[in-house]
Amino acid sequence: MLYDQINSFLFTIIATSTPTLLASLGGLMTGLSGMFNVGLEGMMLVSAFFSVYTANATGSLILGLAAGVGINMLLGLVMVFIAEKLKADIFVVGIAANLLATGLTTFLGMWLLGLKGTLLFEKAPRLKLLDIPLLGDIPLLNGLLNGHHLIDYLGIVLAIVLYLVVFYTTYGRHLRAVGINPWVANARGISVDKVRYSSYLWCGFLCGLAGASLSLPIGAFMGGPIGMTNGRGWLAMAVVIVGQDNPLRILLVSWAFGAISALADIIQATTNFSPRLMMAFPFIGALLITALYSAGKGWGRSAANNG
Amino acid sequence: MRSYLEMTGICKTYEIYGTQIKALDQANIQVKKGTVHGLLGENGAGKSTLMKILAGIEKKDAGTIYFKGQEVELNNASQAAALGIGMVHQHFSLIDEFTVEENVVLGIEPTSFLGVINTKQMRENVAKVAEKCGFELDLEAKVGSLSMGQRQKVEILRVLYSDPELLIFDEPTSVLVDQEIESLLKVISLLKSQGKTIIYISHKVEEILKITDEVTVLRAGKTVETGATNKLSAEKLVHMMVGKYIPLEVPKELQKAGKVLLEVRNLNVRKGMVKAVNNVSFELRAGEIVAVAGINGNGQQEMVEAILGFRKPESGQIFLGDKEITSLTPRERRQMGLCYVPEDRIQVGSCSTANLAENIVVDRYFKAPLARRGWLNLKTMHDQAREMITKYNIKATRTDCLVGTLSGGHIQRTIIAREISADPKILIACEITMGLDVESARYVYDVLLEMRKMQKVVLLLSSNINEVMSLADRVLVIHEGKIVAHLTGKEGFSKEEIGEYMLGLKRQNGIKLEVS
Repeated sequence: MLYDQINSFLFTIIATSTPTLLASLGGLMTGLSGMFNVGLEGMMLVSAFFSVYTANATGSLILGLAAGVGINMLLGLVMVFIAEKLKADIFVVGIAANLLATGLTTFLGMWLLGLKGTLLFEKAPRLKLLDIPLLGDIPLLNGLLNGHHLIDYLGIVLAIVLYLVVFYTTYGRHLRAVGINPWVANARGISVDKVRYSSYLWCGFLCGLAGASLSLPIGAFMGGPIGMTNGRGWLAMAVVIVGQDNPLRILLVSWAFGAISALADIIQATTNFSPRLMMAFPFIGALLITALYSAGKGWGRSAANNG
Repeated sequence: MRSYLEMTGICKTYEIYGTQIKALDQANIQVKKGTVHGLLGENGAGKSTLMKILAGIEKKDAGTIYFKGQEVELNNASQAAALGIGMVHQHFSLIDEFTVEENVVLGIEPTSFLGVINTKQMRENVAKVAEKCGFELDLEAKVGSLSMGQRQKVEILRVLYSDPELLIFDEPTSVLVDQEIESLLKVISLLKSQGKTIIYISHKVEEILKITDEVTVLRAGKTVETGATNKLSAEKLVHMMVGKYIPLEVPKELQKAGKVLLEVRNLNVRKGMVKAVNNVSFELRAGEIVAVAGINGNGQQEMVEAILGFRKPESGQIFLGDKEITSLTPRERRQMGLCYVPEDRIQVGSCSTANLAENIVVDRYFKAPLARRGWLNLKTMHDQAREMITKYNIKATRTDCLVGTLSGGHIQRTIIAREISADPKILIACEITMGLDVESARYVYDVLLEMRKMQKVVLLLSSNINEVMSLADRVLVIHEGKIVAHLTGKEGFSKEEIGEYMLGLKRQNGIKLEVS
């Protein structure tokens, strides 16, 4: 009984952390290029809508995924174009993307389907849960890792791939160089513009997957001010900060946040604690972790100076 | 037959927030292959701009460039690099968070497959280049942890890594101390003997005379003259640079020191694990210029930061007049008449993205007449700034131009204007003329001597021994965080003697720190 509960707890960690993980990896790539994207939430919402809408219209999951990711990458390019060429502050552009996403998806829902609130896409094929037989015999690890859908696994794989890209390839090094000092990077013949555009393509791609991972498994979309992204894009920003520009650390931090929300689910199911309060749990956790982390960093710094 | 390199009729105008800055106006330069060619001029004469155009970093508005007989268009740094042109920058173009080898190969990393960096190859390549010019550097150290001299070596390495034919050195000695300058000049001769052509930008006449074969003099964006160095004298070069002759001696009248204005007692400062300042005591009296001589990194900076309140001392006391200030905040100390011209004028001394007026009032905007009940009086602010522009001869057309658009010398004038107009009792001046042209430096000396005359005190930190010797009434020599000598100057200073103390070859016993 307890074993089952532990297994289901572990399972929920991965299931709930995937959108946050993918969005924070996207945020990380833009942060490394020196143009941190605060529009993660908006990007996810756009992709959540377009992927499930396209899947519904075409009956193809692949096309749905491609639509969500593709439109997001386009949105990323537009954002960086506005910031780099039209000289707008990237922070403002990110905020605008968030506002645009809420409005656009609500509008499209009304226009295309004549509906507000929760949109059900019954013809959309669902993202299936995968069973990896290899994991079946390993206790706990099976509970943690088996039976998720494709994008969940993709998230973990991408975190590892991005770790290698960021720290072991020329692209990664140029990306970091541009973020730390664009003038130096430019003087070395690294195209700052290209690197920044590419980082937003990554961000669009990753947030595209994040959004699709919300809507495709359930074949529905919830828009409006508190849409189905439900603050995960904002949470992802905290993950990027605590993750210290390292994709593997981001993976662990996302899981930690996932564990907090899994814990909230359990408490909600087993006690009479206010469910509304429980919904705030992951965010309170994020606030605490971020605050503790910053305080710790501050301590470390002053200790290094005086100690 | 064209020269190896010819730049003709080069023009460049910057426009920043409506302020037009004409950096180059029909400038020309011709360089012969295999020579060391000096490019001499005052701060703001356009030397760096001309060479940045050659290195592909800046784009010219007009003019033509011929390199090896071919007309070339240089739109970016990689094009220049591909042609074999490399530039060692004055402000190092290095990334502090990266290691030495990562900085050297940045932009041209050796790869094995799929853009994966071949670390082994990188290490071997960099080590080979370092060996070739005799540099001993820890290739895996973060650049941020290195001294200025070492960083310059990294910068040279990074240029040499792509094996250029033509090397540009932009004011390479402005951040170095004497010993480091010697080794740099050796590196330059070595490179020349390896067949490379070198353009050496400087405003220091003695260096130009020492190492160049030919020299081009720029003044206010125009070429004044080009000629063989051995046919030119120092006086003639200075004359061409500034357009008028400026004597190099400083008139200093004898005067007796007054009451104690600043006293430091048994000061100890730690920086990380290192004891940066070790039991330092001294006092400064009204009407003095006291120099602290020492090689960079011997605790001068930490000592100054402790006096100013930027750094917490481990132990010891600091008195301003008879009031102890050890636990006061930097602003409180400033309000009591302690002012500071820092060595790093870009990061510490000014804010490049704020305008000139804002930079001038930054220490007093919260007081009348600039502020009343929390509201700023912008008109007064700009009026004051305009006054400063005239009084301190700052080359700026508007009070709202960004300080980052001024040349180094005029940024320094802006900082000095602010510090002196704060009416300090004590001025701590760190490398105050570093990187300045003759006229600006001369001006700074007048300002310091005027303070001395007004019965104030200047604590002068400088690695320029000539400056120390001609200005100071007393010299404190610092070595490894300790005051190793106190020279009163009654017998006069000798350059060799100060040098020996600075290098730690000699130290005084029973140093007397009071002035009799």
